[in-house]
Amino acid sequence: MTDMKRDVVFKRQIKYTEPASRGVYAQGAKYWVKVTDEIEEPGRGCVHCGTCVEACTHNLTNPASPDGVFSMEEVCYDADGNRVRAEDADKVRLIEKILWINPDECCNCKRCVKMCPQRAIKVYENPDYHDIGVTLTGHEEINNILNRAAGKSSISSAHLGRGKSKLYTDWLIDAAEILSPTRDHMNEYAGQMRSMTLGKRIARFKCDVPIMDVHQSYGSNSHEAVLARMMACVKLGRPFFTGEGYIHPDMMPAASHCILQFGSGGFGPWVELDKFAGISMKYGQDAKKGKGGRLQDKKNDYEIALLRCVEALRHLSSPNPQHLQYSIEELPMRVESLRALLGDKKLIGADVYGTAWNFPEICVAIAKAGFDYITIKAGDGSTGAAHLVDLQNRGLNIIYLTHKADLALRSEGLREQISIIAEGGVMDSFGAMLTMLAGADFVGLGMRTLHVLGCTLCQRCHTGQCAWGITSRKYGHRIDPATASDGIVRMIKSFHEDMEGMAAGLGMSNHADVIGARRFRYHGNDPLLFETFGRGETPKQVAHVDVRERTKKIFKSREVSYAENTEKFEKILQNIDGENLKIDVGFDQIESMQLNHLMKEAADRGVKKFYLDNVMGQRTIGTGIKCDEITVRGLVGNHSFAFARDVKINVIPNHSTITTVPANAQVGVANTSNPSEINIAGDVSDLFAAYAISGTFRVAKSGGVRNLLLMKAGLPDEWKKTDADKYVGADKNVILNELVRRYQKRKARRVKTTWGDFLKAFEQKLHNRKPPVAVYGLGHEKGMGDYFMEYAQGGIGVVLNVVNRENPIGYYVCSGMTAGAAYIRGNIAEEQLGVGVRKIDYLTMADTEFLKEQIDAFLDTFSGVDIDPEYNDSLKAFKARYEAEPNSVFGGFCKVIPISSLTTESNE
Amino acid sequence: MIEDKEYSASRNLSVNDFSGGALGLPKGACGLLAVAGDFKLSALLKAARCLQYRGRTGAGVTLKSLYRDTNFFNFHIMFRSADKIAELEQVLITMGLRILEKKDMVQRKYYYEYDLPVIMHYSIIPPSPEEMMFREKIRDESMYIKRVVARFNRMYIDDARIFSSSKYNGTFLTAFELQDTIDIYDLHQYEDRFYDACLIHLRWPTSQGRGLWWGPQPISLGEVAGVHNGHLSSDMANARALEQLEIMLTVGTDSEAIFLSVEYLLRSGYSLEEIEWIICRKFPQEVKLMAQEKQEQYAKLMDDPLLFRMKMSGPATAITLVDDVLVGFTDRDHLRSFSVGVNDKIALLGSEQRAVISAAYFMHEELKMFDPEAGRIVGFTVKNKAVSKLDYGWKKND
Repeated sequence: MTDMKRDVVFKRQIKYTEPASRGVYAQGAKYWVKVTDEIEEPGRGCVHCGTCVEACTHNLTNPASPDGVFSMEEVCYDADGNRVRAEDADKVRLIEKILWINPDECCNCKRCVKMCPQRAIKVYENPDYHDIGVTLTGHEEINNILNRAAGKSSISSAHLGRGKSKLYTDWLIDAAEILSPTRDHMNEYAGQMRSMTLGKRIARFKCDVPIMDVHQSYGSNSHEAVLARMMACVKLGRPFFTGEGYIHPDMMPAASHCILQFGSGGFGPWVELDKFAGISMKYGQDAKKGKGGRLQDKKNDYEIALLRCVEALRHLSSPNPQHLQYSIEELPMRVESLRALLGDKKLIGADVYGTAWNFPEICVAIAKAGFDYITIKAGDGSTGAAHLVDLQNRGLNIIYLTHKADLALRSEGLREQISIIAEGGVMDSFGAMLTMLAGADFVGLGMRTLHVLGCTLCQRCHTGQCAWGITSRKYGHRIDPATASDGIVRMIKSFHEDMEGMAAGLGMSNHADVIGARRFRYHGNDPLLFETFGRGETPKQVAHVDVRERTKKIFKSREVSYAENTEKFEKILQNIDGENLKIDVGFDQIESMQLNHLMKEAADRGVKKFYLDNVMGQRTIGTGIKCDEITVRGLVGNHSFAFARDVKINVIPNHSTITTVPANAQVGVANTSNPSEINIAGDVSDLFAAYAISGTFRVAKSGGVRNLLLMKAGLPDEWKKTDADKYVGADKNVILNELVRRYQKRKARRVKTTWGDFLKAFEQKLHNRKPPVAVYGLGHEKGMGDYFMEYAQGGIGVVLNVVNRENPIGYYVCSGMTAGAAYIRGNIAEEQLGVGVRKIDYLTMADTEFLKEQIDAFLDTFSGVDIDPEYNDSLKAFKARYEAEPNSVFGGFCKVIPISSLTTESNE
Repeated sequence: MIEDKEYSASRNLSVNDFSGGALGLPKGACGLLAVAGDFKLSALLKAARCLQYRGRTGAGVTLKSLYRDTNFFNFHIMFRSADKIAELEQVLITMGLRILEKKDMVQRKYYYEYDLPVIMHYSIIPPSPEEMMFREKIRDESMYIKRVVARFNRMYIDDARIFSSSKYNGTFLTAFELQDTIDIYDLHQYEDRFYDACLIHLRWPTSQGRGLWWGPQPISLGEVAGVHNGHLSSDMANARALEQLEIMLTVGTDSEAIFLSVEYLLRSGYSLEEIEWIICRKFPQEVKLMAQEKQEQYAKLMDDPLLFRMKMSGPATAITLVDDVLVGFTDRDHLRSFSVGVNDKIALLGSEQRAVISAAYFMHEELKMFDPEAGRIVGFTVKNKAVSKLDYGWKKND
């Protein structure tokens, strides 16, 4: 072998691939790659080691290709110059190694440049792409037009990057000189921004640094990127914001450091919530203006589906607003519901976009609704994926918005009731300091954190091809979470030190002195900023504060509720009979949160079964109550049974007074829940069982609009057996060690196999889950509302139509549904169907079996309940017909299913 | 900007200002409850308490037919301060109105307890028909009153507001909670008086503009009063449609545009179904499934550029009282809930089932309850406490 090798000659070549197309649409990439050889740069030329081939992951034209910009070709020749196969080693005398470069795929991520041991790779702006047009209509506009004309996606990511940040120049932070001397933060008690709390009411999170991370979802970030950021947060002593992709079960030891985000997709199992530090409601973001996003099927892999509790490999939508999520009406109800769920000591936050219109009022509304903190998402923020037009339509400047929020909250006497986190365009410690001087309690840095992991803003987050492994799950192992988290910690500490120095330079002692101190001046030419920050002194106080208002807005804590009603509560609690308690609500005698607190008190004393009598629309019934069974006689109010878990609930009508109180349920009942079963012997209003993850839901009559919105695909066992309990109150080093240990186990599995096979292990974990099922009987009063099962992601809905309505359902049926099915009995015109679904007019045996099981259980549940005479008769007739001629009932059903999302056109 | 000084003596107001503007109201989701028929006010007020959690910076009540025994118009006016009263009374007089009598509506003690404008009741006589014709080319006294009240409210928006200007109905507003409104106006004094409909509104607390309470509802102008929750994304389109019909907003909110649109459509002789089509609109798929004749009728209405701009987009439940007619509806997307309960004596309309059933419970009434389908109109007439449900094809001019 040694002799043979001596005879082989190596020849190296660098070649560029032919352009894929010619003509005006052959735009090429924005960047060109050049690799220098030994002749051009002696000692630094390419040695054909192949590192760049492994480093580059970018290939938009052919995403399935194993190669990106670089590929290596080896051609073997024998002594006569004939091509031979590499396997015929004894004949090989010449090996030609060709490094092929496909410059049209380069995005300037610089992974190859930084990994090349020879520094032989250079990336330049492609003049063919950039040197076109005129100043007014330059390369950006022309290429945008060509992309659209060619039918290419208008999605980009990270940031539009047009122009400099408004924080870049023209601001001057004051310095104390003679009037109030500057201080020394190195050797004295000065400038210290430590021991702060996020949240100013009962719920608080102690923070050691004023700089937060921002919400970025698991899925948009790789497992490793999330873990690195999470570990950095634990190390730094600040909360970790999860984004709306929930967290991985492996990360549950750090739950007490995590604030879950509830976006319009409501993704996640929503269990073990008492282990988390709080919940943030996502009402909008700078990048997509509250539109929500769409996770493509190819990114919704088995592991993501496990976290989000959806069907894998289907598009996922985080859809538009409705009155459970986003609506102003919902704000106080949502806080009330989350407070019932989490108790008084967990944080509830609101993330809002820095809109141009009514921003101060939005902040005030949020504070009045009882949120603990507000996160302002200002212009210049970045995102994982957004349409160019959204990136272009940025929010307002962070300093301006912070100032507006601060002023508005002060005027309402609410500023010291709520914390402000401001983020979106904070570039460094200077920007962070400005933001805090403008009134923020904390600032958020998102993109800066990703630079530590390698991000060079190549704007390819949305492609899943990030070569640094930040936004590409497949390449996540390129990040070592423990090491990367140390880098983040060092960066934040460096900024923190800068800020403490600046605060000391202002003569300030601590965090409290800094917030809203306004010791800066804008001297640039932006008219809005100059008008706001460029003229004269800032008044120290607002003109008018209405302090009286503030105590009226906030819901009473359980402690206060009990203290104010001890006698009343104790009198009721005396009726505890073993594990049972009957509570006479007396129509209007016990208010919603009082009732919730009373039930919690009873549950703490061992009550497992509740009978609530004479209920008249009280809200949040059952939310946050750990028990086995709840029976309600009367009308169930908004947001009741939200987040319920493993509980059986029956709602029955109350005929005990002249006025019948029907067993109806108002808006948002049973949202985001995992009950064993919920039976409503009446009708339900809008958004019933929206975001439900698992369980059985039966409604004797009809539902309002958007019932079963985003219904999920069931609760995987993985979420039923987390050991999060073990880490409650644990030292942060114990948590960090456990995170590392679990990651090492994961990495050991990952490196042994391909990414595809690695994910298949998670497919197994989805097998045993049971999708949620909701069955509606329909009433005489109305049919099912519009948008039934909109965006559903795995659940099953059944409309029995026991009253034989000619038009059983409204419009946009199952619109945007990506998984699951609806069985509807009665006529449905094609026009009534939503987008992306189709109707099948016949049932399989399996369908019939399933329906039989559901109908039997439905009749068992409601046949014995006196609902109202007209309905009772209809149900009786339906039952008789079903028992006599079951096929005549089954024959009336159609099935609505999604057109496979895999065949739909990608929006990318 | 509206440059016409006639409509803005104190400051120029753009349509944007009228629709909210930088300091305007974010028109949130409020609690609504309305009743028509034979009922007890106290029971209704008690039931409305359950909506209080929704809104705490505004509570208003309109009582229909409260002043039916008077033969003059009853203005409820709030003045920013007492020193504006004489000046603005003079303005009313220059508009041809005669002040027959005036009295305080609020006991002195409440001015010490609350941050209140001066609130007065005026008995107003309109000019003679000849003078009305001379001044405004209007012969109908109700129309005349509406015209001058609208003008007054727009011109003196910073200093005063006529928040009730009906011949028969009385509207009572505060920027506080319902109990405050009840106390400040001593609403229980009307318990045994005649009334045959009532609108109650509890306002969501997001306003910075406490000035002259332009946020609280019912918004009332002449014989129109209405309550609404939600905020319309179509507020500009709706305001422009009315503007081009020379129907001017006086409070400036999107809510007001709905009520004035309903009034315009009812008085123009459109049927309830047509009003539903115009304001709530239909999904295009629904139109396809309509009978040919209906499709043509629908298309004809949509062809009218003004009616086309009256579509209500965005979250809304709205209840409007026009003369003896009470109508309610939601936006087509049903981004707000709406419940109705009826029996032979009463019709109850509310933004929550709880409020409707509570009212029935306190009134000792059994109801037939239903939530109208998304974007469907319901209408009732009430005369002398007798209530009847209106058919879909009913027209006011029938």
